Amino acid sequence: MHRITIIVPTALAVLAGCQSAQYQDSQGTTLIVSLDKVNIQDFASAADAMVNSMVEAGVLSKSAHQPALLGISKVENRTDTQFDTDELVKKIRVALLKGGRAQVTQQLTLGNSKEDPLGDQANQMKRFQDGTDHQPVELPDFTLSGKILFDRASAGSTKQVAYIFQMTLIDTSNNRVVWEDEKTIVKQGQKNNIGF
Amino acid sequence: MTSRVLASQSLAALLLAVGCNTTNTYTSNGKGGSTSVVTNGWLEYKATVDNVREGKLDDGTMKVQVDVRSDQLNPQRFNYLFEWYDAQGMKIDSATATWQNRFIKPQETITLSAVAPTRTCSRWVLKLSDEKQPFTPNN
Repeated sequence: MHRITIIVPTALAVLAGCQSAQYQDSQGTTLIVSLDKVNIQDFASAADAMVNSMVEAGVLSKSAHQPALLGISKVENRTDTQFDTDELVKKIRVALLKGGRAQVTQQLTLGNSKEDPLGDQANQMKRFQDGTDHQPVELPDFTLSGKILFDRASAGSTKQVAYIFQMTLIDTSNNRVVWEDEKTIVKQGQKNNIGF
Repeated sequence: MTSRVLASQSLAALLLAVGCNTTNTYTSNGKGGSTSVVTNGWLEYKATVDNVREGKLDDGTMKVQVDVRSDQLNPQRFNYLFEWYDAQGMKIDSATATWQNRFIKPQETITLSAVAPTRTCSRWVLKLSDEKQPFTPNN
């Protein structure tokens, strides 16, 4: 009987799960789902939908340059929480680059802010040394821009938040929108949760 | 007698915690269909793969659509992930790959679709897992 009094509370404690910190698979299903912020799986899911849609549209593969040259324009965070929009944009860039579908230029950047200033400086010096610094710089075939919007609603103690990811691709040869898409991620519940 | 009941209840609780939330896996067979490894019967009832369609985009990138049907009389949720492999069987990682959660209505058929991360992908694997029933870390 005494043994049982030890086993049962132990089993219950295991079930209750007083968990100490442990690593989780960043692509897995045991990540925290928050009602008050965009989670990493939301960025991954939105980026996945955007890349799939963009590739399926076939716009990049029809570009005169292969891989297409992409300029990153403004991607606005219009939600009520602060985050770096690179959490979305970088995933899209990496997927396009690794898939051989596009390369990103830093010859022309928004506000002339260079992602890698040393790389830009080295390029300028090389162009000067090669005597090509007066030749026109290579401009992007497409520019990528977007917005992340949000909408909150509640009914009783149940809260709902929707994050709306909008992306647009402009063909710089004619300034036309050649692709755009929207992905909405809706989360509902009374409190944050562990796991999907 | 009471101790036996308590012991069996503890064992049952622990077995539940260890979990039976195994993954069902569907692999392209190279002929436009798939072969399945079903280890989770409950999940199979709410997410059965019915049809598979494979195609190629203009640039040669592989695309797949999988019809998934629920035999349940209640709304259900499940998770899914597509993995991609090249002709040598090497896994091609995608920067945006992540498990996705899907809602499925009673007796409904929905379509899961994916585009290969690179043109070199020639085979896909679809993994389905249940929505934390029970909760198993790192599933």
